[in-house]
Amino acid sequence: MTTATLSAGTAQASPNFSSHKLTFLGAVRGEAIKFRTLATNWIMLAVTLLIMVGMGAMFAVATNQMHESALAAQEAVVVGAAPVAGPTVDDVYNYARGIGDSGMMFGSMLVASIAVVFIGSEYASRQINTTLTAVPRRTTAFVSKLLVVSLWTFFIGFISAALSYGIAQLILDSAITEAVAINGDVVRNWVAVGIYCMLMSWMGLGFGTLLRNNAGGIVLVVVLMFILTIALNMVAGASELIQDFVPYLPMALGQSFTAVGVADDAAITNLEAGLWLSVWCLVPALLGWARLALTDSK
Amino acid sequence: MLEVRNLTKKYGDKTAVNDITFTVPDGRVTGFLGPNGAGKSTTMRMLVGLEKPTNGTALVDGQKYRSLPSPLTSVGALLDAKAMHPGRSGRAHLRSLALTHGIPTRRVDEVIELTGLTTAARKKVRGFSLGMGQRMGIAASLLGDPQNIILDEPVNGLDPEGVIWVRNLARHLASQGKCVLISSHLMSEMSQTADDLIVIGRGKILANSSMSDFLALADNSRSLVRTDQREVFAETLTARSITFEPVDTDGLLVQAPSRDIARLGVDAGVLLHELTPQIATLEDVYMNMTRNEVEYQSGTFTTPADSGAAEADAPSPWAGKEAKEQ
Repeated sequence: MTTATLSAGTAQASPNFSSHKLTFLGAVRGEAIKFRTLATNWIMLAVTLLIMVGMGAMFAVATNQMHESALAAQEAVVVGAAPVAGPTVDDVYNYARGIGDSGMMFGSMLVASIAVVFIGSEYASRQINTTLTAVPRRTTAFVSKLLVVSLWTFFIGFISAALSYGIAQLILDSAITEAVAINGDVVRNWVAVGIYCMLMSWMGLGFGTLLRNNAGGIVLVVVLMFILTIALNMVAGASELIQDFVPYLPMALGQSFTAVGVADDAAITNLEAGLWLSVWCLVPALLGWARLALTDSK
Repeated sequence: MLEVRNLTKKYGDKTAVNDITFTVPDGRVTGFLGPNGAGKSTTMRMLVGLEKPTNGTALVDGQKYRSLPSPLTSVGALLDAKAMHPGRSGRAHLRSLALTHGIPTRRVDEVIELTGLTTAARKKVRGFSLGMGQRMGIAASLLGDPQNIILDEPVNGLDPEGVIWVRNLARHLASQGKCVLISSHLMSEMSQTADDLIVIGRGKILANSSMSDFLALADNSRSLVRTDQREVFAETLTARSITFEPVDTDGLLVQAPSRDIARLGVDAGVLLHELTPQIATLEDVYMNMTRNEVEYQSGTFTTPADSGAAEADAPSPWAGKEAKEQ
């Protein structure tokens, strides 16, 4: 390893970059290349895609079975038998339209983890010092990261949902596929899955920045998404308050947000679910921003 | 120009930097010296906005670092050789920094070549040695051809060629009118590189002067004497109340001008076969200055022979030294 000689010629040829200013767009481009040049991110995105699409395919098989059950129940009602509890044929069609969100529960955890690692690994490797030396305005640095991770996670969510739907068409019975041709509800479901993934990345980035630690950030996401949901569902019967609160937990809100066929007068509409979910995800993001902006980088 | 005014940084009860003030001028290499934990790195981190001062200000060309419109072209900082994501290539790391300021990719390749990392730049950082990390950190600091350069221990882990290169780089940058602040524990290296010195200990400035003024603080009145009659000469010195200490098996480090020592030798009929005036090095002055400012004091090594000698009751030929010290 030999260094170049510093000569008078080098001095004369010394460049002058003083006209090159730090810009928000530059900060975003810097974060974008950081995201792109880490193999871990690509692997986690690929795993997210595979899991979401795989879950979609499995759900398509289950949808066929539900369709058969729903048809049998429908015929039973026609011949005067007692109605059987379970989804109706229309419900099944809505499930099929919304099949893009089948793997969302696991997918969202993975995209949140990607976001946690995106910032947490910077603290672990002390890269954060370099980042904040290049972009000393903390809000710019944070928002750039948020924007980059939001775009990637929206993209992976949307693509996964669309691919899940596409592959499901090959598995679903023709009676279902003929009835649920692609329409506005289907595309809205894909977009909602993308937004849900994006919001989860806000939560991940927020917790990662707040705790400055990969494991801690991921655990916090898991606690909020899974543990809290399971725990409160177990004790929901004990309290009406908890019962009323459970639909407002982030995982339940995610399902309500992406669901197809939710009536306008439902207890929680798609839009309301999206707004409440945004609050759940915005709060960690703001806490993370505050820690980054107001405290030393150590 | 870097300016630090009444800068203080506290972590809870501990004061890492205690009301320090100094200026690092353009066109000079300023060495920043101090024992471990003295506050050098904390000061440097406050200069680039990584830590908020508890009190005081740290300015770059009259502005706070965070207010600079073009941080990378104003300050190039190497604060931590390994402050890079291990899973990313060195070149990608530099490109991510360059993009923030719209610095062209050709400049990335230029600094890679300048630091001798052309063959390694596309490899993952996790495979870098400490020296390669230092080179990459220096490459990053040079990316925007900044007016001010802050290098924290830049020669750690570098091979001799790299050490000389960093020295030449610092001198070269200063010759271009740039402001260079460089910290190092290698005194010999610093004495060849720095024009000015700032010494910090326990968060306080102990010295802030030119290198020549700093070296003038040295005690250059000692001479090394070697003789085959050490004990006889030691007694002569003791009789004259001249302080000395033993060196090796036949030497004495005597606190007196060489001419006086030579005269004593002649008068006592003792042949002195070496008489060398001791010129204090930067290390001597620094060690003397920071002796009581060391945060982490190392232990001393005692050999069994040493402990035996300490316990011996035999009359000590070094009585003069002991008497003087008492």
